[in-house]
Amino acid sequence: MTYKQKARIQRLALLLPGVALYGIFNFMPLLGLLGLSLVRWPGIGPSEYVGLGNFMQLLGEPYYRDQFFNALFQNVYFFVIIIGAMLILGTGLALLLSFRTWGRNTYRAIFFIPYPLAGAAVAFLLNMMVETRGPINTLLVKGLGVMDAPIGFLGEPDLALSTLAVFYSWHRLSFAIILIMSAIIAVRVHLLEAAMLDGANRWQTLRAVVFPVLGPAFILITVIVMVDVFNNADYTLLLMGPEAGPLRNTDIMGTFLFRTSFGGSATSVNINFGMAAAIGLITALLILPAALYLSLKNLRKD
Amino acid sequence: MKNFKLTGLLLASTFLAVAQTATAEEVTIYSWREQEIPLWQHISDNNLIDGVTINFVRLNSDDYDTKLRIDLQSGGPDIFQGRAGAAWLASFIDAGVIVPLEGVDLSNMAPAAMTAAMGADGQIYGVPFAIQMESIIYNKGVFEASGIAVPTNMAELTAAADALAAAGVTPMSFGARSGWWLNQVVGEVMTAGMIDDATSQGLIDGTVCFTDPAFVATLEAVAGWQAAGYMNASPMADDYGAMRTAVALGEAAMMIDGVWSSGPASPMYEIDPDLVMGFMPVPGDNGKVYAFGDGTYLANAASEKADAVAAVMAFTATRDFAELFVAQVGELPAYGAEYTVEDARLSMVAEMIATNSAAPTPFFAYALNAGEPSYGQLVADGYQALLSGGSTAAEVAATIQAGLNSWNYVGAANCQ
Repeated sequence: MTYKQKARIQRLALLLPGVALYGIFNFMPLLGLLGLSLVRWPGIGPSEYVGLGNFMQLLGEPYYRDQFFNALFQNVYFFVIIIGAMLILGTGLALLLSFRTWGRNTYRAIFFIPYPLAGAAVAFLLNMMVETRGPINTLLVKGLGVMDAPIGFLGEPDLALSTLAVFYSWHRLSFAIILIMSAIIAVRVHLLEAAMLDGANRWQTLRAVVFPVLGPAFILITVIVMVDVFNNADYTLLLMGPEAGPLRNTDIMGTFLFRTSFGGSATSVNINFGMAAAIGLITALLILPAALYLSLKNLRKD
Repeated sequence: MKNFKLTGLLLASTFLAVAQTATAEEVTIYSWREQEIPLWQHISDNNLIDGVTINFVRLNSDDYDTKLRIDLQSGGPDIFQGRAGAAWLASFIDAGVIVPLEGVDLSNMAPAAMTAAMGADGQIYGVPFAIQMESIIYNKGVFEASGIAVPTNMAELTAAADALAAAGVTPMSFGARSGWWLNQVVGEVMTAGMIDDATSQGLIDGTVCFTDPAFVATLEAVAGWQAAGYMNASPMADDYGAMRTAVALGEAAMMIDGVWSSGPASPMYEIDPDLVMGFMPVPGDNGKVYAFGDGTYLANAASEKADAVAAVMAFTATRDFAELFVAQVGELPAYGAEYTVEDARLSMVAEMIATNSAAPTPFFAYALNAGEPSYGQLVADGYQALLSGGSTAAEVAATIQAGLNSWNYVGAANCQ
């Protein structure tokens, strides 16, 4: 066996586990989704082939179309709040933690505590915080007396989605902090020293030396969070149910998809896995270009 | 010697039990109802159904439908519990998982519970298992402390609410964050209390429109309670649990809820173990409480243990089962003929259901829920719009009507 052959076999052997795992658990289900989106199927019994019927119904029938666009716009809003919080607060906190301040390791531990918690635990914990009898409302109404009535953080149509976005951000903020911090640490010390020698103050050093290095971390966070918030809806499903109340004001793509496949309530009649698959595919198509663009940009930089 | 005999007896009975389980067929039942675990354990342990042992599998209520559908693709359980009404049954009927029930004598079941087991075609597909009552539930201690008698008309209810409010108690606790509670409980209880049965039936048949003053009045009553300050300060902020907490604590006097909240397993007793709850209808012109079958036992048509399944299904429609149900579950069975209820609370509820419950159940009516947006969805949304100040009662009624018209429900032609 020549060296080249050996190298080729080695390359194949190294690639195989990853490709096989990705293929079985990611790629094949994706193909299955394609097939599923072409049928009407309530999850049991025979399925009926409808071609592009599910897509046409989704984008054509006002009942579905309104829900689809409502969920999509709210999902974008949800994403914007979260990514804003993660990048701005995350960078701020990461910078603070990167200075050699007193108690730095303690703060780091405190910020990191929420991250390993299960989403469900965080959801119920934070729900308890914002309930009408929870500590926040008790403080506002009884402690400080600034409010006459408790605030319905999750009950008011205008507030509910933002509250859920805050929950999400609180839970995952440390993920952003860690990525940004590792980027900050990668900044070469002699560059910082050179900047200081040139007479740059702390802010100027940050702006001219540190921030440019953070770009790839920002992009990575954006892509991962985007894929997550457009596909998952754990907080809404757990706290608001598949009907995504109040008045569908917390509806995002994940809840819309769930409701379509499993029904929102005891009176749901139009349960259709095919439609849910169609929603999933459209969501994937919508976020794919952004995700690809950002990832490729990242690759080229490196 | 005595001991020896006893040991012998024990041994013999063990052998018997082993022999029996060896020949007995095991029937698997899927349920989301935790409270039925002791019931089926008791039935299985005491061999109450000849030649059948029960494997009762309790699944989480939230993903019950999901797991059930997935398991049914590969056989699934022999018997499973279904939620009430034709809407839920429809996809299982279409898939041939359940077929019209045969060979079970349902003549003794309560008529009010039968709609739970009825498909859109009017046929009966299962045995209904529990009958629930919904009404105003009040904290008796709070009523007594303020010297309030149970109101028997709307004027007395208003007077009672004024007296309670003056005493610093919230008259009516609302948990409007929970959409399911708004359509399944509030909507139905308001209808049963304020709209006469013939008009309610007309709403279901499409001969009466939802813009009818009788229906608008139910929404106006709720909006009126909020406007008069009879309700907790932010009803949209509180969910079902918070609503019950307020009544259990005595901060609020009344709520619209189901009798299940007064059952032995109710979390309200964790807040106040001495809590005593009373029941009354919304004291409107109709003045009735609302009763419905909670769900049904359904036989999987593909089960290989057809005889054993039939035996279990038949047993669930008997008086013996009804009495076990009361004793072990602490709820009223869907049995309509005479049976013994020892619990005072339950026998009072049984009496109210038998003598003063409304017959029409719009929430479970297939005619109103066969398309989307369904009546259930529209009512939940409507009350939320009403309570968050987004719409008036008349606007909500018009939205409900327009939503139903959009899929050409039975009354669409009549109610344009």
